[in-house]
Amino acid sequence: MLIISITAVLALLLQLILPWWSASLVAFLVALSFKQSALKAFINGFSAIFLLWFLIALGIYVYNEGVLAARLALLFSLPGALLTVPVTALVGGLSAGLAALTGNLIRAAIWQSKSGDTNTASSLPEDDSKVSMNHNIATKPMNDSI
Amino acid sequence: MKKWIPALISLVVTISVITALNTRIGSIPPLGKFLDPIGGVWRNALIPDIPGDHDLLLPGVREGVRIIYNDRAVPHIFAENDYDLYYAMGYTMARHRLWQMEFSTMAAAGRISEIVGAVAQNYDSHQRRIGMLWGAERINEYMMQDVQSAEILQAYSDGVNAWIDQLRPSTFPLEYKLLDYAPSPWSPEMTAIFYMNMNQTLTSGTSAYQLSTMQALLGQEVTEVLFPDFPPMLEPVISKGTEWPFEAEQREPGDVNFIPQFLSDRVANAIGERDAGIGSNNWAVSGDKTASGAAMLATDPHLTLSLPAIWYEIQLNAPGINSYGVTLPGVPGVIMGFNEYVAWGNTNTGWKGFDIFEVELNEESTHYRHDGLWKPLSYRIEEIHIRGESTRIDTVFFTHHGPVAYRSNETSFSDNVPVGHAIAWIAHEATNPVEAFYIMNRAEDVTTFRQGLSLLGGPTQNYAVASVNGDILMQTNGFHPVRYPGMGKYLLNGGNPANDWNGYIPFEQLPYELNPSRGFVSSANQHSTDQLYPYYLGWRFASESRGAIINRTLERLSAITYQDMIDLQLNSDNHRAAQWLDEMLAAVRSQPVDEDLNAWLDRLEDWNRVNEAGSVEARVFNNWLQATRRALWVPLTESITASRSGSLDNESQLANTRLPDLTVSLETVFGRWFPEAYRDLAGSNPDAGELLAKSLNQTLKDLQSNYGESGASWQWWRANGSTINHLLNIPALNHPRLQNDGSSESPNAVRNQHGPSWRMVTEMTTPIQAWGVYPGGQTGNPASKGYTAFIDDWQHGRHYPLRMFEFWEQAVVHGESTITIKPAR
Repeated sequence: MLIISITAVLALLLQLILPWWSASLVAFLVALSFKQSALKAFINGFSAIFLLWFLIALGIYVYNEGVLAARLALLFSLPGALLTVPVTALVGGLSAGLAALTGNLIRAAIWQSKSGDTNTASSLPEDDSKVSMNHNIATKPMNDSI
Repeated sequence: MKKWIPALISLVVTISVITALNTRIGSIPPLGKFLDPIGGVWRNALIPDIPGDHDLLLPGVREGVRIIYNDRAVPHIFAENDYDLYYAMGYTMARHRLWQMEFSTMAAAGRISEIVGAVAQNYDSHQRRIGMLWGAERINEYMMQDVQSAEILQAYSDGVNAWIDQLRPSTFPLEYKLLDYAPSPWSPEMTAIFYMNMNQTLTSGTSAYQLSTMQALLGQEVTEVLFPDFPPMLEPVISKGTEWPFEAEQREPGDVNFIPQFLSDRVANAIGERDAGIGSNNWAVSGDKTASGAAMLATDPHLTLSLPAIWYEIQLNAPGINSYGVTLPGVPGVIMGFNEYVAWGNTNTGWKGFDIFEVELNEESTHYRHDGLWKPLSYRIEEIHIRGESTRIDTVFFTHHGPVAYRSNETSFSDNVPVGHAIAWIAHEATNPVEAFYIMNRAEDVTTFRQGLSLLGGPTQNYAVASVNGDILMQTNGFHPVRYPGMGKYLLNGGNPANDWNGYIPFEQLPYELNPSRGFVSSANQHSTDQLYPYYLGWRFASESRGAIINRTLERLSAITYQDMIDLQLNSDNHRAAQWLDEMLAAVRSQPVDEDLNAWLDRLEDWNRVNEAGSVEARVFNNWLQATRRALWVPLTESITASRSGSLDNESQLANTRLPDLTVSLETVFGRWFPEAYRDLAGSNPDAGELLAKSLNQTLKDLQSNYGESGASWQWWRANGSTINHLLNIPALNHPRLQNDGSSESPNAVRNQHGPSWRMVTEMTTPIQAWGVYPGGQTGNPASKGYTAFIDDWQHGRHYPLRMFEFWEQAVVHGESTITIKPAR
């Protein structure tokens, strides 16, 4: 929940001054900074931006009485105006999820490269390299959940 | 190292996905950028139609301006000087309509490829070849020579740019996001281009190709009977019998029997006739006929209805001007409206200042033949910038007539016959519409109004004017070439100097009428005058239907109120039915008819003869008229074409034929219009009863086979109902089809995509009272309800009261919000 919250809040702030892809950039950076499994990283990045975009779009939908959403639904051949809200959220969520996954994998690669370069296994915790080797399974209990 | 492989794959995938979602692919907007709820399209749903109260510092403003919005988002602008007034006008116009302003001018200038890519390059090329950009440059240069006009255009431009400067990508109008581009700075030339746009809509197009084809098939004499300069049942704008205190400037007739060598339907389609069904109404009645004793004016110009609406409502107030009405996107000034003294509205004149000359070019395209000599062609390079591709270079060749739109070697007909066509068009003539509207907006009586109007070269229109001192005026304006009788009706021989344009009818001699004895003036695009007018004004005008309904109603009415005027604007009578239905029914009944047909004859007889949305009879009758017209002429045209050309397969010739209009057709059916001409053609008189019975049966059969048994699917609105489409014609931005009354032949001329684009009624009391409505809304933002806010009230004739305030304090009391603009120093 913490990672989702951090990602969503930072994305909101950054999106006020930068284009839409800054949300994915935030997801990427957060995933780079926190240790998690790759699946978790994707899910967290996806969820953060999905929820952020979903809530904002829903708020605008209500405020605007669905006028814009009805037009968007026609534009994208969606069967209902309200569907434009999850579709919007999906676009943001998907790109952020992928960015987070990339961040996570890069983090894992960096840690492993470091362990390879130094030639000393002691500089890295044993279990961390195991996480990297087998990146779908967390060997330590996560202190974060979705 | 192996560990980097999944990271790299994931990175590449992520970057690809984000790049794809940031890119416009075909007609799909960049989805990520577009759907982003913070900076994308959702953001547009948060833009208010009416901005809240605020103060603003803007560079360039000289003394300070107040813009007060009413509850319908109409801005009332109060300024201390002209510069500030037009600056604020540009600023407010851009707030609501920036995308439309820019897109309309780019479409007119042939610059759409810059936005949508190569799909539009032939459209753009066409616009350049008919001289849209060339004409705009000439007009802009002319306007900018006038110090006052240059200042107004610069002020307007500065205002638009002040609005653009404060935009961010997140606050760009929706269409920029959809097509993924950004607004460019505005410039005075854009106004000239928009002016060309109006000219293209209102004064371009010709039926000369069709008429020349008919002349080649039928000969001059018969063609003149079927396509007469003055049709039966003439109902001219200027009262019949009006005498004119001058002689026409004489000119020698050119070669009136000229048969062009080259009848290319491809060219005819490219620069073909504008839809003749687009019309307009206006009228003014004197105080003798009104309940209040003050003169009244009504106007409803018909255009292709579009979203954002073509018109924008505004009040302009500064020392020397207090005017309220509607303006066009990109044009400084009130185009149709009123001030404290006069009210005005305009309709198009039917005849166009647009002629086509057949010219002979030499093989190298360096010279053309004129007056027995080879004269040099001038040329102009047109660069068409195409989004994502390299620039296309077009060369447009010019004769002294005007541009050669398509040289013959650009058609598939022949590569070695150097024959093309040159266009002479009044829109290429320098004029200063800004100065004209500047004076008209400030006119204190019909005399000063006419002075302003005399400066407006086009579009060529009929202006109805009413004044508080009781005058009513109908005045034609603009460039009308002095023509010999028949000139321009057929293709012209551009090699013969006797066919050259050699001047325009002086303004003082154009058709006009001031305070006529019948107590009203009116126009509905029909013939301007009867045969007594000394000049030749052309032949193809709107039919008499709308004019006749308006004139009969105004003759009948007395103690007129504004509601009577609105009712007449909404009148959907079927004039043809009133004129001919009884006679048509009697003719069919003279035949042996079966029970089914008889039932339909009874139904039509009982019909109220109004084109109501739900009427099945209206659908049957209107289809019957068209079927009759085809049954009368098509077999004849086909047999003549076959006998002359030896083959019916010659599609290029058939494509150019033209059927006589309904009035001529029905009068021919009943043997009242040159019966001997028809006898010569067909070998016998038409059998009205047989022809009408046959075409009614055919009509019913066609309706049945297309729409099933008579019922809801036969209702009139299903054929005539209007859609109001966005300029891009993207269904998501269009307004769904309306179930409206009317027809192109009724004053309520709502039909398919056309209709009254602004309806206004004014009563010239002091102060003036006015009502008006247009199909759209002040904001051009499709994400807002305001975008279509007025459509329902417009459809049902619920005009809004239009309040012109004298002082800004008064406007504040009645307004919703105030923007106070001060100079930024």
